[in-house]
Amino acid sequence: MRANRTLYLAVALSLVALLTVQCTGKPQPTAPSVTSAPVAQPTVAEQPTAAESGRAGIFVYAHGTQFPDLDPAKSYSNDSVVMSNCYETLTFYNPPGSEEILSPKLATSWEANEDATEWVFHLRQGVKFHDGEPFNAEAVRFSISNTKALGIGAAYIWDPVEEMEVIDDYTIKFKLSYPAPLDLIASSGYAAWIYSPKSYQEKGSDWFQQGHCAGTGPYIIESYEPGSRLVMTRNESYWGGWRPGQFEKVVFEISQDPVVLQQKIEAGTADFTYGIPPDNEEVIRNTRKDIVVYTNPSFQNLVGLLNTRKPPLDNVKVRQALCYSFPYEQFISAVMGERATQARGVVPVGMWGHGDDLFQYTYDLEKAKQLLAEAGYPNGGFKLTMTYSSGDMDEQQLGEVWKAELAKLGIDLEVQGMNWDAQWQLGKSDPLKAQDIFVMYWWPDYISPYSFLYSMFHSEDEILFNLCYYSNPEYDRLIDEANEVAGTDREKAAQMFIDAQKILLDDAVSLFFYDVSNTHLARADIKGYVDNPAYPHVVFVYDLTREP
Amino acid sequence: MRWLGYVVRRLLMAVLVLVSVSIVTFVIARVIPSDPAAAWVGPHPTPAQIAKAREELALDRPLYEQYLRYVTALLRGDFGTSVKSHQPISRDLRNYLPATMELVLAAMLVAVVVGVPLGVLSGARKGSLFDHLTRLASVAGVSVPTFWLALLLQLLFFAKLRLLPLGSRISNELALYNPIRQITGMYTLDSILTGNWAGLRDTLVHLILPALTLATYPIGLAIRMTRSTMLEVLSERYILAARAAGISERAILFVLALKNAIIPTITVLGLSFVYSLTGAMLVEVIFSWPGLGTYLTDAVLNIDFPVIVTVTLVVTVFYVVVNLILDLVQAALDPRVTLR
Repeated sequence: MRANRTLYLAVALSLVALLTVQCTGKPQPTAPSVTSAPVAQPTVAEQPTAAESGRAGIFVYAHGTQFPDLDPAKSYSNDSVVMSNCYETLTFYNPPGSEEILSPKLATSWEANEDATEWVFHLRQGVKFHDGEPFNAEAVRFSISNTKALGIGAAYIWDPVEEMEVIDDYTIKFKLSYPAPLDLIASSGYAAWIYSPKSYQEKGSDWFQQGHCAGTGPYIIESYEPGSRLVMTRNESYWGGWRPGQFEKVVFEISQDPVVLQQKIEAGTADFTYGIPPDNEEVIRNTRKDIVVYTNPSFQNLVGLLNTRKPPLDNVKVRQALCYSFPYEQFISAVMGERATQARGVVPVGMWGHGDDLFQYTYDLEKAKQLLAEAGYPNGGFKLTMTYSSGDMDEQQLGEVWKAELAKLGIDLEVQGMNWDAQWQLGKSDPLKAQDIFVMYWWPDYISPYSFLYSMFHSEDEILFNLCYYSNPEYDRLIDEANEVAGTDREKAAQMFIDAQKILLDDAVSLFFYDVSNTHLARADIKGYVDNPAYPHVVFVYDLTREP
Repeated sequence: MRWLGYVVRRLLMAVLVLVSVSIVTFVIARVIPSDPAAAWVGPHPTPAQIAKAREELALDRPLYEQYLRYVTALLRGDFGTSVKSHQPISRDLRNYLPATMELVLAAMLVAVVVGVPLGVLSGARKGSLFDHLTRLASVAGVSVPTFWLALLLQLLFFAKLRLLPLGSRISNELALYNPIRQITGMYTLDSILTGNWAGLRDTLVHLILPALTLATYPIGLAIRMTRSTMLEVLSERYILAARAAGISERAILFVLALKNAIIPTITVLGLSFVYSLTGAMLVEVIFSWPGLGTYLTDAVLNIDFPVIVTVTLVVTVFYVVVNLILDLVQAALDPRVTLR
């Protein structure tokens, strides 16, 4: 037995030694990811720059998720990072801070009649699809009617379009069944791509899904290995022309492990990435000169929809008390850091229709107590269920923090993580048996406050995303009207959308926790990158150059 | 001819197993609260879109009818369509299965080449320092968490030494300038078949770390199994007789003894091969290896039920076939085993 004991001791010692080797050096923050236990130390070894290693003209984007569907008529996912480089839309939504909301893309100008039910788009001339076919009004008509007919993904954005009339090769007229901001719809990063009718009809959806494209964009898909890599090459006859220094090829490399993404950007084998463990982002921001960490507001926010049908939350005072019970600032500074800012109203910061002066609930337990007392619950004494999407660490921590706060008010919060599908099914069931608080993210398809205000708060006959089961005819009318004038008088519409948010805040139908900020990492020699929250995580590679 | 009857009986049993497995997975995947019609449409579906999809996908039909539709399609060779990606599952399998096969076969090869000889020598020199070290290695092999080892290897061989790539099956440079023409989907094989030697080199370099990581567990298994059966066999009298006859020690160990000692090792390695087809998920994720494990995991997380059912079926087929082969190999190696 003695020999055995010596052996075990040896094993133990060598394991300890191994662990020590791992843990010496600077203390590393641990990341909230299953597979990210050892954090890669910043590598100081001499690294060949991209220019030296012979890939100066190649832009490598290390991407954390797969590209499920590359069919321009159906794509409604992260594959937009690919689509945005090979397809184009009629109009383009400018990044926040630009003078105009929209700029021309495949359409050079457009106008609407007075009530925004008829729109005429004048198209760019001399544009060719990747398959050599000319881009014209007929192609626009085909793309939109095909996407609409398939009805997959974000195809519903074209719902108002009743009829399209090709006036001449470069003019197309849309007749709408109700007024809508078609110029905004046409800028959507989903379902608004214009593609070659010939390729789509002859080769079919399957051909596109296998990794081919037939758009008008600056890059063409050259090869695709599902789950690992997609390569794009220049469209030499791109209508925008080519300047020296622009990239020849674009490579999307798929790696699902966040630590691997980090290693790639640190080693310089990738030029761009996102989705690495948040704590490590901070380390890189502070220690690496060769990587730029971009943090920008996104158009995504986190809400906690309150069940306005089920007691006790059917009482507006109780709902208001809840809105005062969450420690917004403390949570954001302690948990989220740079990744979030407290929301002001429903529409995220940076988007048109966001109200800079809207009322913002703050953390105030005294006020909450008082409101609860007024509602007849001076010491709380009830139980609430909050559901969130399991696997989301931020939502989970938010639930735990909130539970502790509500306990101080005598309210017992049950925090229940569920698979999104299950969470949503429960939400869509009978409101009286459903959850009390539904935590979820929302982001828009085309950039309009209406996406937020309609989807989550407009009355619904059959519950879909109005998971606070809110129904207020006055509110409905206001946002519907705002959407109708949005096509012709955007300022007036913005004001109406802001007014509508005031109603929601008074009625305390939801907590607006925070607007999410997106963080992207790029190698420092990549110039020209501008984050555009209308097209999440998209890099328009055409705009970039590499300048050591 | 006794073999033929046996194989037929086993295959008939296999059909029964497949039918039950398909029913169980189909029902489980469909009774979980989820709405495949909504998933088919996308993240923000409208009621009209959902209704249309429900009809198109026949999700408004009773469950048994949906199952029958699925099975009849399957018999025609149609594996169904992924709810999430709208892609035919057969095409996805053509992509992911060969990638996993290549990785798992490489790992098994390493396990046999490294594990079996170590087990034989360790058994032959019971109690020696070599034996202790080998046993230590085998314990470490089966107990070290693969994701930890994977990250450690990456840190060492990629970040520090710059010797081996971080992951994925081939380098960007190869994909850009010298792509491998796909025939079987196993890049080592394809690059040999097409004479793409740069491709072969690149593929092998990319295989080293993931295959090594995946091999640690079967190496440990192989050492332990081989060692313990060797101990048993070496105490048999025929070994003594062989020694008395002056047959060389090497021949005794690696021919006479190993032939009888290898059977349990082959069995456990065979089963661990099938397990690795989907069980290699962590290794696949860390090494960005587009394999079956990640495919299935994604499907489970998205409740993509046609994919879940189909992948389960494919893996079941492998289990059945590998088990059958193992039994036949056993019978071939050991005359005492009777096929019934």
